[in-house]
Amino acid sequence: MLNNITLGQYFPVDSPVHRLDPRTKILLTVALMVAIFVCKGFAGFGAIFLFILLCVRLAKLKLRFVLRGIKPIAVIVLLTFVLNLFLQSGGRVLWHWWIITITVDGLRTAVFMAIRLLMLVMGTQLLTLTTSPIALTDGLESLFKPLSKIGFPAHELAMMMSIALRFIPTLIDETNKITQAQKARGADFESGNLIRRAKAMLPLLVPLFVSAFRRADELAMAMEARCYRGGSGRTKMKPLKYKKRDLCAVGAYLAVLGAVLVLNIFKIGVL
Amino acid sequence: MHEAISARNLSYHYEGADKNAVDSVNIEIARGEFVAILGRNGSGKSTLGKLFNGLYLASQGEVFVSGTQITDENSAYEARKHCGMVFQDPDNQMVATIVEEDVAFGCENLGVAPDEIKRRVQKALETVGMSEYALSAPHMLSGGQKQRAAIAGVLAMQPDIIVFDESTSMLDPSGRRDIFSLAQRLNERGVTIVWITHFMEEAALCQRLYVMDGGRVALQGTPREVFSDAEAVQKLGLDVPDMTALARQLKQNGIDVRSDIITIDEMEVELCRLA
Amino acid sequence: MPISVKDLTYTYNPGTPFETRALDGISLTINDGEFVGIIGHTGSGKSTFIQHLNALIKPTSGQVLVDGEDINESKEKAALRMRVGLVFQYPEYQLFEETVLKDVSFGPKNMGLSEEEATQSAKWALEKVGLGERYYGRSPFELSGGQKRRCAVAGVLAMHPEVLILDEPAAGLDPVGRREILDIIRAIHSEGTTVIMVSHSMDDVARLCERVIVLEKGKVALDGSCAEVFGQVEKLSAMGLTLPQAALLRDRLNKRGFDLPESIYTIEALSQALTEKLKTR
Repeated sequence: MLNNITLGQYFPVDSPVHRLDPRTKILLTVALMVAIFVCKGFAGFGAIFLFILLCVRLAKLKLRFVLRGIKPIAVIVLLTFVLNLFLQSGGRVLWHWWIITITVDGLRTAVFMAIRLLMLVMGTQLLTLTTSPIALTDGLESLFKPLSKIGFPAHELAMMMSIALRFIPTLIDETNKITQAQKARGADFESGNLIRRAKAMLPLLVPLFVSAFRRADELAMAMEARCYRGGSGRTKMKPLKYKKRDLCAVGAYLAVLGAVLVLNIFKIGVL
Repeated sequence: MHEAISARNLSYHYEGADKNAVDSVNIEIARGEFVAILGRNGSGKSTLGKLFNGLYLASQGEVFVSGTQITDENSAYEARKHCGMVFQDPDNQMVATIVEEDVAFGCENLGVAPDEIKRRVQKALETVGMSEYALSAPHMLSGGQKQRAAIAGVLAMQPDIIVFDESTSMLDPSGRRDIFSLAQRLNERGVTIVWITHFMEEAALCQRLYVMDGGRVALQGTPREVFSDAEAVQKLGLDVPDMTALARQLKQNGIDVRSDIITIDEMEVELCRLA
Repeated sequence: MPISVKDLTYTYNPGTPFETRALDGISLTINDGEFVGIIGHTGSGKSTFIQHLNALIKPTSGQVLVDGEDINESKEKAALRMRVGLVFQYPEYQLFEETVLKDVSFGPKNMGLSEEEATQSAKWALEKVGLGERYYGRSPFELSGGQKRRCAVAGVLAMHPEVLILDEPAAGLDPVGRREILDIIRAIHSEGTTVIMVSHSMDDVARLCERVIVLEKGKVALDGSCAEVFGQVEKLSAMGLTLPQAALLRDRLNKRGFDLPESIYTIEALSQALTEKLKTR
């Protein structure tokens, strides 16, 4: 029943973007955010948007997948837009009614802020659409590895993350089974007020927790039996390696950043 | 040449328990053997298996695995390199979200070089017949397939011994047959197999068996020797093979059949001889 | 309270690329007092089928009639559901209360019985499964594997179902636990409850059931008395199902000219027949 479940929103196709080292993608996503914040004008946004479009194209994605990520934060975008629209003043007055004034500057800032947010979302969407959760975990582990010298549990966090990903489908399946079993004993999960319903969840949650702990226990033993002793001394079947295409991606990004900076300095299309 | 596994006076005591879970057990398993440890739940058979793999450390007595005596965490780690373990619940022994990655897990822990890991993983998946599922997610597999993947993960570590701890008890009959015959094939290639089970059908197919009861070895010998004393076996809360039961009933009815029959083939031959 | 199924079809994930037909036009009737075994491969639709019988799954098409009433149309769905008790595979995973007695009372309480009545029912059910007074106050999580299983079965029995459905009731238990649970089921049936048991074990089915239904790919492949079904050696083997050992040996011997009745499928009957055969020589 749960076979078709996809975790996160990873879109599994083979593309140059998918094949990039996850570390490159994570770092570039952060760098892209920097570029978006550094950018002072619409022309710069144009350059960044072109870069995103190029990535979407190369990743064999449809633009609407990337735009889908906007939905959950649509309210925030709208709020940002409205607040900036009304609160910013300066420039020619476009419209005035009672205490509400909309000025040219206000409109411009509002649009600018909204675009900035949308760009940020598209950038992160691009990362999660083209990088599997497990690759993301690997990438983060590798990036944070230097910090393990000062006691940051990079490997442990990555391991937990990967085990969580592994067991989510199992536990969803189990939840369904227990729900059915309790329903067969007349349990009612749907009716009643909030407190009653919360109480009705106990017959589901208790067995689920018991089972999760049992699984954790057994898994720990199985891992130990396979000579697991933590992160030190481990190798990887597929160690992360930077390739030429990572260099190309960084190059493309630097070109965009350069363009943004040049546009900023010469105040082309800047507010 | 040392034995694969040898236990002398081996005992294990769970904290807070009022008696030993494994109690003065003596076992010798030679290299290349296929040995069953049979017993009902709570007989100590699984605890014994975990002592072979160093997951538990002996409270008393000695246990040697591939010549290494397991006394502490370090020797346990050494022993685990030689002695792999496949557990009961197929879900709770897979760590990774992709079969191939999971098979690699043990090798990665041992610090094997990446290219070598790839080679071993591929070979292990071939051996268990799971190559086409290398990139599948564990939750998409059937119970039997998950167990095969788990076995591949152990094989990739190239152990001399594999302990199967009730590895078929959660599978359907075809999955059960599948995993057992896979263990038989591995044994033919020289891997020593310790098969922990409460299914007498499986124990009957092993070379030798130990029957555990209350933490002790109650009976031992070849399946034929053990099952021919049907009463003793039943007293321990275990079944005898159907054919052994049939032979017994026929004998009681005054038919002169051999009493050491365990398989259907033997019974067929014997009855044809009588008819 | 007979259960009738008419042209029952169920499709998983309809309209998606994952669409699979789990049940395909099943029609049959289970009468009062029957002991029915349902066998078939993993994925043959057994578990999906039994969940239809107490309306946990709604059919894609077709009807489930309990006592003549369509269970999915009924206003008394909850009440009907409780008259058909369903014990899932590994039911011990549903235990959740602090004490055995409380856990077993959960079902009766959901039926709307008073605290006292529910406790009465629970005690009755616990006695049926052989868990006496000294277990009432224990935590269900402290019981042994076999006891947990029996406790979970009591949880369904306590609702006094007229039909009891069990999915692999003996799975994962050791021989003693297995025998205990099967004996309990046999006793419940002998007191008049209709029992439907899904099992992978042909030997268990042969030992307990009167009627066997074989499902394959969501369809009824065979349906008849044990003797009839286990006589169909070729058909069963073609489906990849193992026969009970006794039936297998009977078939092999007949191929060697033993001429034993096709209706033999238990060790007891076989030893009887063989004794007669060999003694007259």
